[in-house]
Amino acid sequence: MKCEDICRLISEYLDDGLDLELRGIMREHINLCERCSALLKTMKETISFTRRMSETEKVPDAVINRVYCEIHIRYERRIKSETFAPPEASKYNKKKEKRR
Amino acid sequence: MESRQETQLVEKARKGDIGAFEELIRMTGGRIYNLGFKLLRNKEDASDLMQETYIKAYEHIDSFRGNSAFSTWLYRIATNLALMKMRREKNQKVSTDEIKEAYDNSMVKEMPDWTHNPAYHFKNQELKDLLNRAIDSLPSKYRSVFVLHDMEGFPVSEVADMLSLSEPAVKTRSHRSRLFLRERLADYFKQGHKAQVGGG
Ligand SMILES: [Zn+2]
Repeated sequence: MKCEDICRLISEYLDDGLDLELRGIMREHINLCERCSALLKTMKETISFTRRMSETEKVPDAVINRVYCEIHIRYERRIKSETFAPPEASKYNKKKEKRR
Repeated sequence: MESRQETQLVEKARKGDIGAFEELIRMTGGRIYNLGFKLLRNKEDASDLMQETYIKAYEHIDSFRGNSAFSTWLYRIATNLALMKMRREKNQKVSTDEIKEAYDNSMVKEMPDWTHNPAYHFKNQELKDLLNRAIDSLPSKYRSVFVLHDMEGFPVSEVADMLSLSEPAVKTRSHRSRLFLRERLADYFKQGHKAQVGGG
């Protein structure tokens, strides 16, 4: 196995995505090769650094309230159309008619 | 993470219980907002995306089949809406060619191990800014995969499902994104940043 092969497969190696035999061969190479062991370490750190950076932001209350509000508008609309629309005017009622 | 409570709430919401849908928003809203923030890189767009996602989910809740967790279904809606937005904007600073270049470079260029460099520290704000800019500059097809797989921790198969991609395509994009970001970090350390800690 060459360094190029390690580089090609390193992400899958980190994701536990390769079979045991291939992983074993890679591990052997990495243990003996300074360049590939640096590759493994720096890849690992790049991923874990970005993952740690992705700490969560709190959703502002105003944003949540806006979402609730938009959903309520649609809820009201739905209720109205179900209550007042003549049967042929709304899809929902059409379905109901068929079922009868 | 599918929970019984989530399933029950979805069932109620499907029957028109608005309180149940609000509860679902309360339970999943934080994750959807943060996903939007990571994909679109600013709070205003994250807020809009969150709103659009729940409106779409509310209007299409009948089409949710329950094969996946409700939150995964929401992720799929949010990611696709975000991708549409990113494609419309196209203000990327890096081309797909540059991503491939980073991939080729990693095959030939010697890249030292900077993990022991004193400047490599989570409190190094300069490093965080640099990485944030690098993630910003990823083309949308790479950024979406990187965010879902590496930042949100979804396995390749789920990312493929969410983005309607093949698993090999997800693996390739993930691998190239990682190599690109790693190269940006390597460049930073090569420029001689030795012991900056804190600040920001
Ligand atoms: Zn090697």
